[in-house]
Amino acid sequence: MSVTLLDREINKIHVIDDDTDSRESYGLTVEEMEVETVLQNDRVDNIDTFLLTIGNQDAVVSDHHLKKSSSYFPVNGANFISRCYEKHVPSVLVTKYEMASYHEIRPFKRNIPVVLTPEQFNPETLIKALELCIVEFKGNLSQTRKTWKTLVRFDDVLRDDANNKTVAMAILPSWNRNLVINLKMIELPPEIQEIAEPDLRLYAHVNIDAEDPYELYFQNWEIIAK
Amino acid sequence: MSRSSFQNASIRFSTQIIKRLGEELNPSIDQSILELVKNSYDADATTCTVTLSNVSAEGGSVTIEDDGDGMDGNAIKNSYLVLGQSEKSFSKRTRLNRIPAGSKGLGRLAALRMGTAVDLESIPLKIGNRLNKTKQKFTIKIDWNKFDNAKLVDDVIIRINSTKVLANKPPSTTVAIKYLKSKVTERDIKKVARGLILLSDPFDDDPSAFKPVLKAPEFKELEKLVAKRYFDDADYHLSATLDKDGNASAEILDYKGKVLFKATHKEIAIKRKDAKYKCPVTTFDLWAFILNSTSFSTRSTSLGEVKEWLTEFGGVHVYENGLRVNPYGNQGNDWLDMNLSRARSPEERPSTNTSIGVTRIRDSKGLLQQKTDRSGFIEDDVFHEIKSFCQDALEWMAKKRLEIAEKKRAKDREQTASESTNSKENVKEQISKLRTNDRIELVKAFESYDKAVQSQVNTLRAEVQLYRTLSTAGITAATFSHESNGNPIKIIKLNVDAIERRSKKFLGGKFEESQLPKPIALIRRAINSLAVLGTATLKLLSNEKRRIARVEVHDIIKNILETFTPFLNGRDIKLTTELAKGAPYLRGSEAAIESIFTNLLNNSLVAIENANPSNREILIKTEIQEDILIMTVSDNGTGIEGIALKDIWLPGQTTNPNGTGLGLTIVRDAVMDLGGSVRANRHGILGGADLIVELPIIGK
Repeated sequence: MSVTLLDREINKIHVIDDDTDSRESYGLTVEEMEVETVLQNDRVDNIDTFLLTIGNQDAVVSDHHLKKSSSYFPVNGANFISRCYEKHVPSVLVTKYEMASYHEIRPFKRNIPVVLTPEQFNPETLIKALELCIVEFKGNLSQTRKTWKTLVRFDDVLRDDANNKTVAMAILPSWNRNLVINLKMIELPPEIQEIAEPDLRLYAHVNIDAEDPYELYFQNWEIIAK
Repeated sequence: MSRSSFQNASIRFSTQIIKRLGEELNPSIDQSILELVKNSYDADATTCTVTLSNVSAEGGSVTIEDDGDGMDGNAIKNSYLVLGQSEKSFSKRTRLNRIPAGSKGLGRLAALRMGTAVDLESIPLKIGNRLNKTKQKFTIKIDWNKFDNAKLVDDVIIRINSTKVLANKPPSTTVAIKYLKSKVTERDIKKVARGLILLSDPFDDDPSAFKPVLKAPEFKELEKLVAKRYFDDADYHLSATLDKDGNASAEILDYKGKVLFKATHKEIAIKRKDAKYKCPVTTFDLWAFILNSTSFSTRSTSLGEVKEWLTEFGGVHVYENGLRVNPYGNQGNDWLDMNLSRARSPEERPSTNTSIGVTRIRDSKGLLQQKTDRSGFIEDDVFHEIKSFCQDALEWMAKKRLEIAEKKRAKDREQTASESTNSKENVKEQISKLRTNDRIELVKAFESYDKAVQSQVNTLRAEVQLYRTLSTAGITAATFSHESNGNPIKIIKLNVDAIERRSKKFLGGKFEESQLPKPIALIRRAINSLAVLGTATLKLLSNEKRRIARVEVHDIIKNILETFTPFLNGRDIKLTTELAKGAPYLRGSEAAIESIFTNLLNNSLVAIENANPSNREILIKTEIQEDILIMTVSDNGTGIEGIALKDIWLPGQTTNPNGTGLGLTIVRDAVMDLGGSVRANRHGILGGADLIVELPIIGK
């Protein structure tokens, strides 16, 4: 049993979710693609070792939240899918886009071409998502995924009760000057966290052709010399 | 017979490698200079002076001068000029019993490459094993341009000169890095100053400690600041120790240094089930401050001074064998996740901004390894054990401080009750001393007053209880929302989809005529309605929404309506929105606007359900009049009946038997906090109530 996506033969799809019933449910959808469905039932201790078991005719579907059962997986789904992408394994992240998980996903977004919600997840969307990965592996990023050096201004920097910076409210004038993107401090490199303050202007490489703010990702932050 | 020949070869290095290693390894000027200063420390220097000359533009110079043991020609040749090899060994101690900082020479290369030329002069204490009685001085000049022009590293010859100096000249080494390739900014200078001051544990009291100096005004200011040592102003001092066998112990001291609590290994290592820590001998001291004006009102130091000191030096610094390890304790570095722990459970936990700490590690066996680029330790098991020890000690301190806080709360409650009883008895006693006629009148008046107060207290108690019950309901709803929104709904959704797809495949064109599409559609509709509960609850709880910032009211209304739409559809409610043109915004919290709007919407839903009209309608309307946003929520529910209009805002007042009577109280309070006003019409535009909120805006 195998399926050919563009010029790539896929004969096995691994399904990662720490909840047994969810895993089985994703598996039902994957089965309909008529490839071998491998449900990851055992806990994974080491990502590097686990990645060695995934071959070049394999693909991966992973939920983002993998910490409900203790010790099922050492990293979250976004981190794992990003690692798969680096290895050129077509892979899809499935998650409800809640505010919290969004901040966790964005740092890895460069290597996650498609995020599907459970509502969107079906054999057709899965095939399209895997094909998009394969296209990107050849260096062909769509217009909405290409990054451009752009100005980022911090409209405000929020602090918690102990005066620690928590969120930078960023505005990208070349993307949408009226919309604020909340960047948690952990999403920023340490040197930017250190100087983050209202009205700070910086450069970053951002995919400013993306329409949805959830699709944006930031790379190569650069401090603008005064 | 055949003849064979051979020639010897060796691996040689292109001069490009110098460039790569030098420029790519070291992160910044402050780290580069610290590398050279560490060489002075290893040479047993007691003073080391760093001078920056003409550095505000390219071409300046950095000079590092120390009074250490210096190097003879062989040391320069076989150690200083050899990269990647270090004569330093963890088992060896220097003459002053220092454990060498252990550079591989690569950091030094990066530092020396800051300029295009280097001059080194050294008067050694000894030449070989003999004292340098003849006072020989050894000098070298490195011209990096020669390397840039040569092919191989070995092609460039560096001459080591030896000359005689005056007999009274003490041992010393001076390194001058000339013609800097880039300018040094004020910010860099401050970083160098901070790095030098913190390098050898300024928090320790050892007067003989290594104290490097930077000749720059910024250094003096910072030096003064670090010397202020506001440790006595700390409210709590955690002092934890890990002995050579991996057993931990700790104490919490008050500001006078008196022990408040003591812990044994068992109490600290409770999470790891008493297991010993497998790492070198370590001490961890943390001074935690309560930074509010009340706690500082009786002290000689000001809150501002302490805050400034903590901003500059706060955080937990790490010293390995007496020398600081970058970047632990730098601004923004939170290697013990103190801020995260505080965010999770804020009560009685210090953050990096409200505390200062020192972790001192005596690593005589070299168990810890620093990364080559000097960005901290390699995070192996040993490092994690040290981190766990510090975090476990912090956890123990948090528990103990919580105990103190709880005891104080209980005592305050008792004290307030007893003070109130005493005051009451006192008034009664004073009244009893009056003449009879006056007394009777006063007793009556006081009894009436007392009754009113009691009634108010009872109302407040009931209100507090109601808030507690609602909070509990909220917490429970949030917990289950996470659960239901995550897995069960997702699983139902995925499986309904699978059933539909498989049925279609199995039945082909007959699917639409079968009995399956209707139940599938009904399940989907129920899922959508159910999901609102979870999504709405979780969205309300986001932390960021409680921060004060610019909020666009229309966006919030739209977001809430989007969340509620499946729910409203499920109840056949026609929703009409007429939002004014523009994007009115104000400074406040998203949570406040959400509280107002969600409660008004809930109110309408209940009123419609009670009235049960055939066409259910809600109208949301906004208008802008100058700098006021007027928001009206109207419905065709029951309207306001059976209660005085002014009483609808009071807590606990409701005509709905299942209601809490708090919704409109919350609306009123939130609107007032935003500087606005709220009113109601018993029967308005659609026949039911109109609730009209007016909010001052700062832009549209």
